[in-house]
Amino acid sequence: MEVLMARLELLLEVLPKIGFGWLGIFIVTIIIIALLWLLEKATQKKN
Amino acid sequence: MAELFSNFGNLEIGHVVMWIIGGILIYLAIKKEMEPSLLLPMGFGAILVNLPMSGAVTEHGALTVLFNAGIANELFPLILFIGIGAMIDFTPLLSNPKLMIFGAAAQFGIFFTLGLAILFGFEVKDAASIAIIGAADGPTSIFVANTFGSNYLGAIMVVAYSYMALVPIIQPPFIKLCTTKKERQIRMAYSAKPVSKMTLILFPIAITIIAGLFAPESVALVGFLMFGNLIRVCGVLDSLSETAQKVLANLITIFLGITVACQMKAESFLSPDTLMIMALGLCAFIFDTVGGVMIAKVYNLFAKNKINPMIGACGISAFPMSARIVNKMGLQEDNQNFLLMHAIGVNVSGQIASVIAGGLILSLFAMYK
Repeated sequence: MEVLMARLELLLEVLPKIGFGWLGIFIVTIIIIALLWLLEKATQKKN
Repeated sequence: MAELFSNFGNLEIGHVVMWIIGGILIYLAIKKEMEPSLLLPMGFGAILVNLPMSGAVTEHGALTVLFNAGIANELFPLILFIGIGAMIDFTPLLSNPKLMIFGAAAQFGIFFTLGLAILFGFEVKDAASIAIIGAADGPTSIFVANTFGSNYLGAIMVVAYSYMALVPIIQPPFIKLCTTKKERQIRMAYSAKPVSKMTLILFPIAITIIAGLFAPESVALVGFLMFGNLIRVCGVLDSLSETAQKVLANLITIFLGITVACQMKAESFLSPDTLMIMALGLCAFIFDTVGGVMIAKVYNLFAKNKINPMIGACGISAFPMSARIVNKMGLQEDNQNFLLMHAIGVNVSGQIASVIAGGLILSLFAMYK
């Protein structure tokens, strides 16, 4: 029981980082999508 | 005469079990054609390192030298990434960039499994190394496990490559479980939008800068992948691109497989932890699939033009298997439902997202044990 509680405690400590990790990928992805949109617009304008 | 047989006394049951495991890997590679370029060298390597008093893995043994020269310093997986980058065509993704969202969504299994592995008693760094199996990306798995100094590198690599080969078996039941027949029948029109050469060239450079700013630990991974792609798309380095795709990738693959087998010594590989890693790796693949499909379904709640939620499952790095499976499943439901190009776009975005996931994990969990 004690071991399980220790693991749970560690999980709770790490959980925000786990959540941030997945969210982080979305943030980076959305920035990339926005950049691609700008890039495409810029190159279309040039053409 | 006694000297000739002296090494037989050093033979243990664990060695024999590892020969059998090596034999199974070779069988799967040859007979079932499951990732043969890696499972075969790994299988043979498993036999090589599990011969009693094996000269290949002594302090100055050939495999030890190769391991220190190419894996301990993460060089082999990174060089392999140049070849992989040169093989990837980002055009389907660039013609419909919003597909990248599903690449991010399908990394869910990594983070879910990380929590699960901690619950099962693994240290945080080992848990993260195991969870990254869900990236469905061998070099990223090796890179993360090695950077974190995980004791389970051998098991992680065997599991990662085995499950990548098993994607056609693992994914379909869970895609079906998460979708209705009506959803699987959703057709998606495809109109190939032209992508300018300038965009193709700027894309790998921009990705490297963005990923590097958010997850500095991912710079080497993303950078080498994108460098390979830049060689491909620049249009003036065709012979280098061809060399990276074929000769370089093949050469590194030969050494990578056999060298990783250094970590498959009976004393460390034959443990209940290996079985646990197999279960957790499977869990990562399953929840990647579920995560991708579910986010696609959420997207449909708000979108005017509905997408087929099955393409969400392609956001893993197993390219192009995952895209092919979804295309096949779409055709099974409706013989005019061609999802291949959309699925390939998501699949390619999964390759980028899995590398970013690897970098974020390295950045976020470096301070733990």
